[in-house]
Amino acid sequence: MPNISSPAKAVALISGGLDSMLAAKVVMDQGVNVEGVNFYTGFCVEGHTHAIRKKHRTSPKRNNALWVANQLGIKLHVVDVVEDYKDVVLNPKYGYGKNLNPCLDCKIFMVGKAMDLTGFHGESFDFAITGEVIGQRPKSQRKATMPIIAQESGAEDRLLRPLCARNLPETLPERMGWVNRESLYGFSGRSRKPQMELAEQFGIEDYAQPAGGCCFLTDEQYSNKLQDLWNVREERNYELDDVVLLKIGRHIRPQPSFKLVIAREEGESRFLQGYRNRFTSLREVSQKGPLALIDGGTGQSDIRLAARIVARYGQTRNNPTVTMEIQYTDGTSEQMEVEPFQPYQIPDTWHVGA
Amino acid sequence: MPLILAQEFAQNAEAGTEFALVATDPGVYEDIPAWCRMHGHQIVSTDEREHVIRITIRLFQK
Repeated sequence: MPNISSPAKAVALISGGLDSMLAAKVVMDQGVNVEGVNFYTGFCVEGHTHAIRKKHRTSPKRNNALWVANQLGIKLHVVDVVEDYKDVVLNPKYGYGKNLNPCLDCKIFMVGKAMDLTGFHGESFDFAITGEVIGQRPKSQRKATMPIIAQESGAEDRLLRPLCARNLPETLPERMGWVNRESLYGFSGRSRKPQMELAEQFGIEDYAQPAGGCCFLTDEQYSNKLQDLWNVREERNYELDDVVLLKIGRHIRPQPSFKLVIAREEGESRFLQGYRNRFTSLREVSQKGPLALIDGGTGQSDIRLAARIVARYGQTRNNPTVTMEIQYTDGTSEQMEVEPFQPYQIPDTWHVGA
Repeated sequence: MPLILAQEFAQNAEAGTEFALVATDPGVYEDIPAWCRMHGHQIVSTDEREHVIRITIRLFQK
């Protein structure tokens, strides 16, 4: 239990966005000893995806949760929850949002995991902090869902939401005087203005503004690709590499038995190279086209069809024929001369997730 | 994820251990120094060849 010589200790869920940063800052400013936690689920938008694509050239190539923790001057636990998180994605008690996003179950899971953490000096945390705001998100951040998260995570009244606490019943840290309720906030609704004003008040000028949140499961195209994966395998399950590959490239399924993952730019080609020992891969011999992986059947007719599709995305697509190199997972390779497909020969229905 | 790999290694290694993190993710240029600052680790060297980045780190020693 905290006392004068040992202040209260809290764990703050840090997504890398502004709200969780502000929530942690509000509590730190009241003298509470705060450590951060960020969970790696496999579906995170953060991290390598920013680094791979030129599209994200304007976004700093950094893990925003780590950056936030550095800005706040707190330590951050980065916790790999890929295996445990599968049950949240596959069997969400409270169902999905608009896409395959199990936001309410996810928040319950993360708050519970955070409360189970031990601090860097081996001590347990007195309470947890989130950047939730009532009404900010249609599925998980509603007045009705706030008590569900507190109860089902096991945090109960040890869960403090500093940005909207004054709209909620008093929590343990407030009753114990570890934080002063009057110094907490009563934000509500979808407007970002109160958070931006508070950021200005704190002198916080640089913060991530992720469009569509920090999780790929909120993305319609991504969710469609995941659903396709489950449909084809006739099983709702996944491995980390499956969900990482769904973030990369064009996914084209010309036949139920296989799909192609075709890099959209050089950064993605380099990334996909790391999978060449696990998937048959194709690339123009001249290297003037993207690298592609074949996920599924690899009969000769499949490979020829795949090679013609991949050739369509190379710089030499207007040539009558293109020489493709096919590399197999055992390290052997062969060359194949094919006629590149014309755009009209690749129907929209082949594009997975579109 | 390079950061998680570095963190797992650090948790199980002796203080003062020197190790090399090899990654292709350019995000390590931001993330690893930030992580080292946070925990008091020291970056000994950084090198990149053909898009493969190698960062040598010495773990915090009290």
